[in-house]
Amino acid sequence: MIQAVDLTKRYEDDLLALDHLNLNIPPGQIYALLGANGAGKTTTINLFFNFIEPTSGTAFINKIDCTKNPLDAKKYAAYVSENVMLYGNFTARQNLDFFTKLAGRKNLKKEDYHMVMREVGLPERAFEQRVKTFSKGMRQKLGIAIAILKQAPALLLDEPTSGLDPKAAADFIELLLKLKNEGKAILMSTHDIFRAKEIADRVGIMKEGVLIMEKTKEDLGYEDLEKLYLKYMEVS
Amino acid sequence: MIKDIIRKELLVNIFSYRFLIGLVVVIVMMGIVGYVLVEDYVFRNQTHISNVQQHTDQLKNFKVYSTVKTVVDIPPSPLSVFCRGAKDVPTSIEITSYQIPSVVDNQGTTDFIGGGGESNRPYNPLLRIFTPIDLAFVIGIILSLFAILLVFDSFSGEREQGTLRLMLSTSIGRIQVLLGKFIGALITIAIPLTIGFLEILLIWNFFPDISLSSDILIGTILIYFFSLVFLAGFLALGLLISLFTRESSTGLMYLLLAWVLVAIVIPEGIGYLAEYNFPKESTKDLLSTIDKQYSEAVKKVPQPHNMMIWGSMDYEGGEEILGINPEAIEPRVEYHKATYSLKLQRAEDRNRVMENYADRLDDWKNTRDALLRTSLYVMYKNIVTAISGTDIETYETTIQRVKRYRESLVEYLRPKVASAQWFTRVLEHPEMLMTKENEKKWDELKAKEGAEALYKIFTWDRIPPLNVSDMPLPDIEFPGITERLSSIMIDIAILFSTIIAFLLLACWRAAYYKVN
Repeated sequence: MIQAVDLTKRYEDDLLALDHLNLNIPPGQIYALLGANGAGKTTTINLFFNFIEPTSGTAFINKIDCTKNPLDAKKYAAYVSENVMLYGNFTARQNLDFFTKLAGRKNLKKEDYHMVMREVGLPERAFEQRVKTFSKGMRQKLGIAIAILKQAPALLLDEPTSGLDPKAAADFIELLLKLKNEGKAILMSTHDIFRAKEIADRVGIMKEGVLIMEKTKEDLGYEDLEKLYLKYMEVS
Repeated sequence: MIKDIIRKELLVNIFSYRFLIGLVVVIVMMGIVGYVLVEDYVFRNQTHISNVQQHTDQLKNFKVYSTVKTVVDIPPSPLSVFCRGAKDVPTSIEITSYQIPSVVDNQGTTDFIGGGGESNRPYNPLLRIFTPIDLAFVIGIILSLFAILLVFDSFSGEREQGTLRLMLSTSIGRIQVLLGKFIGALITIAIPLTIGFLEILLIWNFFPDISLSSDILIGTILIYFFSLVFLAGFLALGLLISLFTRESSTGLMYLLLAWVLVAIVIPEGIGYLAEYNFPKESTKDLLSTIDKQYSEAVKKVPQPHNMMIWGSMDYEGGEEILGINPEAIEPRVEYHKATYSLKLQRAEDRNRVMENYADRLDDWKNTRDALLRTSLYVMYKNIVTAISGTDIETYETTIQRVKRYRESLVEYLRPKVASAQWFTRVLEHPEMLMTKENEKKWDELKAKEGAEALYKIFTWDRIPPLNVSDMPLPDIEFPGITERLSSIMIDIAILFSTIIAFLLLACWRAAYYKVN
């Protein structure tokens, strides 16, 4: 569902942000991409959404080339950023309405929006409240609500739990597991090693644009992911 | 999906403080300026009506043919509320045999209407900034600024805010987003504009003197349409600059700079620089040569030697004589026949000089206008002035028609010069003939009742007006809205092309805009 083939990105200032990345995430799997800041995690997600163009290689979503047919590819992918930013003067429902309509979902009723907001754990009072009063956790939940309503089979999340309090982060992870069980392919970049090990079916560690390690949940077994991460960070 | 972007833009804009403040400013400004200018129009129209009445009465009161003159009163345009137009355009044009009307005044001074003749030019260039406030100014300056404030952060703001990434993570195309933002902003700006125009319609309704003819309504709709097109130009420019900047604050700076250039620096700067190149040569020498040649030619025309006259008046080449001796009448008729041709020739010669000068001024004006067309504001103002009928071209066309009318008036008058009625009515009133018998009677009367008694005989009041019912009347057809529009097709074409160019550039830029 989410596939990168030799995906490479070199910026104008000659910085190699991503070097021949290959990954394949089938439906019903969570892939956690670990790495320090500047390792290329966000660049990877940007390439899938055609926010930037690859220097070489191809990103596919549902077997559609994300560079050649970005609009088609984006029909099958939803995006949740590190800091979900919405229109502050719009209510939660108005934001949901706007972004889901852009995603091509029409004819949704007020009740449909309320249902999803309940599902992601937003309190009832927040449904018709202006988003500018929302905490980061609430905005992240609304971000995932947009992704759910989009009904896309692929989900790409850029450090979605960073800055969330433990309870909010736990709720968020629970939601992701639910979506995984519904058959979504999920690519999540994160710094949270413990959560990655807890929920990911596969974990990749990136360093300076290169995927230096990739292990399945089974491969990891009882290995200490933190030690493994630190070891890879120190090497070379 | 573009519909959703439009709806979102509309909601975001309408519920912003900048919209509220802009709306209030526009409503207040359009209300005040509209009221003042409508009142001004009503006053000018009343003056026009009384002038027309006065000039119609004059037509019924000519005593001799040589002093016949007609006046074309140019009605003020009710649409002048939108654009006051060229300064000092005469409100009436006098038509006589002795001079041919011209856009350059016949005194040969350098006042070229709208061209910035010396008398119109403020010495201090800074004063030019404070051009008269009319609705074209409110829309062209204030609403254009409002348009800029609506879109300066369209892309850069959403990029900074982070909503652009979320928006573009959906299957909506960047060009759709751009067009959605453009249309959304256009609908937003149309709100204060529409309210402003409705205000004007309401104000017109308060004044019973103003009847909303179809021409006025069509003109108003056209001005509304072109105002919207002009503002669309600023919105497109705003979006384009927003796509070239990463930060909203930088975008705002660039846009304000562009606005100052388009709305103030280009119109005022080029206008001011052009004046250094203003064709200043005087027509006075040429005109006085013509006058001298005319005087010399007149001197050669034999005059009656034994002419005795009472109550003679000269009127710009015409002559009124109350009393004259019978022997002098025929030679005086011959004299007028000869000099009338010379007077017509002098009028032609003088007009040729004035037209030559007007042509040079036209060339100067065309060059200046071509340079000024680099400003959206100037193009807009040209269009509104033409639709309002307050432009120089409308006046020039009127002058051309008046000239044609003058030819028919001269044709009517030319045969009359062969009669004594050209300068006197004594033949119908023999008591005013200066014969020996009459002089004897007058001496007796003077002795009996005093010198004052003679004034009862020699008075124009006793003489009935000439019957000029067959005289051609100055029924001038003023240029209609279609004709006026045709003179500004180039401005309309440039305005549309500019907007399309801005939008195409913005589309190209949007495709490469970095969202992170």
